[in-house]
Amino acid sequence: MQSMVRWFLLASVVAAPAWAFPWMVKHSYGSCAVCHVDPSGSGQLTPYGRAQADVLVRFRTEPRKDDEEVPRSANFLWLVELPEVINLSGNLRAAGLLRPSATTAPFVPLIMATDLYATVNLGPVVAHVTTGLGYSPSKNAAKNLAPAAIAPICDPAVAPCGAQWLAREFWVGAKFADDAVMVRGGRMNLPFGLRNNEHTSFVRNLTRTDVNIGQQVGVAASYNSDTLRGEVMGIAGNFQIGPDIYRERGYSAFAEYSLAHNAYIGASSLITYAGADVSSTLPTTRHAHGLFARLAPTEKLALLAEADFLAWQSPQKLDRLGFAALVQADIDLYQGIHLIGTLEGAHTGSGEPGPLLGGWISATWYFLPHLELRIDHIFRRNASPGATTGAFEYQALLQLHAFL
Amino acid sequence: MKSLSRALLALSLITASLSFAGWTQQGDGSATFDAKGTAGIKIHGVAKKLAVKDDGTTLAVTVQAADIDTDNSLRNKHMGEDIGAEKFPTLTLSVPLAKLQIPEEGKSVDATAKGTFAWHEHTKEIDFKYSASTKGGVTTVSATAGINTEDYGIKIRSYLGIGVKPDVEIGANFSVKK
Repeated sequence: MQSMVRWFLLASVVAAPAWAFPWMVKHSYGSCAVCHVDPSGSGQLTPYGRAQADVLVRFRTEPRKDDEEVPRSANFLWLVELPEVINLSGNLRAAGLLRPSATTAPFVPLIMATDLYATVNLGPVVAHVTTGLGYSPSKNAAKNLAPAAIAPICDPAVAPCGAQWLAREFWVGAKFADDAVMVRGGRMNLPFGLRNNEHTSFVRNLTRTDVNIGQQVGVAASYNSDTLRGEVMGIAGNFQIGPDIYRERGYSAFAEYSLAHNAYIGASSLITYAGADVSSTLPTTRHAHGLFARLAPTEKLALLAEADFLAWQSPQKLDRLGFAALVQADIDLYQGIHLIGTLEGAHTGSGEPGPLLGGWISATWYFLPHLELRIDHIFRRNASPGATTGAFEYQALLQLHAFL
Repeated sequence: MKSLSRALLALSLITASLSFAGWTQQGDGSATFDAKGTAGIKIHGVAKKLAVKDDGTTLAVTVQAADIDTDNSLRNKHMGEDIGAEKFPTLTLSVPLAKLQIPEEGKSVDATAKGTFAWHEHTKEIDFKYSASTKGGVTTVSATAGINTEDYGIKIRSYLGIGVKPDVEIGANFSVKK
C-alpha cells in the first residue's frame, strides 16, 4: 500500500498535459464533442474548438468588435489554415515546481508535455494519434511516464529511464447520426467523471482516469445530444506496460444529463480486474462509482463537483473501501483570466491516519493566442499508512503552456 | 339629430379610449431561444427586453433581433447575418386577447393557445404554452413555443463542421397590468 500512496504523491510532481475545460458550461457548452476531437473532451481541439478558444477563452484588452471574425492566429502554428481532412496541433507544457518543505530538490524544473496531435477526418471516419517525448530524471518519476511510454523499455525501479517516446492516444472511430454517436477503438482516455485539467487531483488519481497517464486500449461508444451525453468503454488493458498480468480489464462509463442549459448532473462507473495491480502486485478487482455535476449560476462562474466511492478487492484480503471527492469554483475575473479554487478529499482505506485532504488556489491567464500561464498553490495533507499524523505540504507550480 | 351624432361620436371615442387602455407592460421582460445542433451543441440566447402592446383585441409581444445575445460575440454576428437582423429587425407573437386565460387576483393558470408569429416576411400560426399568475394587480406571464426557422425562410449556416437544427424553442417572460 505504501507504494500506492507514494505513487500518488509522486504523480503530483508531473502536471497536466491536457486542455480540458469542463467550465465551458458557463458558455452553454455542455457537450465536449463540439470542441474536442475526443467526444468526451480534453486534448486536441476541432477547428470549431479553435475558434471558440479565440472567442471565449483568450485574454483581450478590448472587447471583440461586432463584425470581427476569428483571426488567422487561431490556426495551427498561429497561421496555417489546414484542409478539413487533416487536423494538426500540439501541446507543449513546461513548469517549475516549488516544494519549500522538501529536503532535496525544493525546486524542480519540469517538461510536462511535448505532444503532437494529428487527426484525419475522412467523412464519418476519424483517426487520431498523439505522440511526444517524456523525460524521467529520477527513478521514481519514471513511473509516471511508463504507462504511456513506448520506448525505450526501462525498469524505473532499477535506473532512471531518461527520455522516452510516448503515445498517449491512438484510435480510429466512426461518427453516426449527425455526429451524435461515435464508436472507436484504440488507446484512449477512460470515460469517467469530470475530465478536469488537474490530473493529480484525488478524483483522477485514485480512479486512474486522468488524461496524463490513465489511457487504456479498448473499444468505446459515445453519445452526445443536447440533453444527454455519455460514453461506455470496454477496457482491454494498457499494452504499454507489461507483462500482461499487470493489465487491467473491465469497463469504464459515464452519463451526464442536462437539467438546463447551465446545469448538468452525471454518474460514472468503473470496474477492472488485474492479475497483479501495478501498485500492490496483488490480484485486484478495482471499483469506482460516483456522481458529478457542473453548474454555471452566472456567465462568470462555474461550479464543478465529483464524489466517487472506491473499492479494492483482493483474494484472502479484506476489501479496502475508500472515496475521492472534489469541488471546484472557476471564476472569470475577466475574459482570459480565471481564478480557480479547489477543495478535495480522499481515503484509500489503507489505515492512513485520516483522509487525504487538499486545497488548491489557482490562477490562469490565456495571455496570447494559444498561450497560457498558470500558477497553482497546492496545500495537501498527504497521510501515509503507518504514520501517526498527516502533515500538510505546500507546493507551488508555475506552468507555461502552448497549444499549436 | 346633431346632438345624437355628437353623442354617438363621444361614445365611440370613449369606447376607443377604453379599448386602448388595456394591458400595459411592467418592467423590461425578457425573451429566450434555445437551439441545438451537431454533436450535442446547445445555443441559449437571451434578449433582456421585449415590448408588449395591447390594441384592445390583440396582445403583441415584440423582440428586437439585435437584442438577442448568445454569450458569444462571433455567434451573435453569424446569427445576425443568418436571420437578417438588419433587414428584418423584429420578431412578433400576436395573440387574440379573447383566447387568453387571465388569472384572477392571487391565482395562476397553465394553458395553451394559438397565436401568429411574424418573422422575416412570413407569418405563421403557432401553438404556445403559457403560465400566468396575478398578484397585486400585475399578471406575470411565461410562454414558450416551438418554431422551425425554415418556415420563415431562414437557413442557418454550418460553421466549421457545426450546424444548428432549424427547430428552435422560443420563450417570453413579461409582466402586464390593466
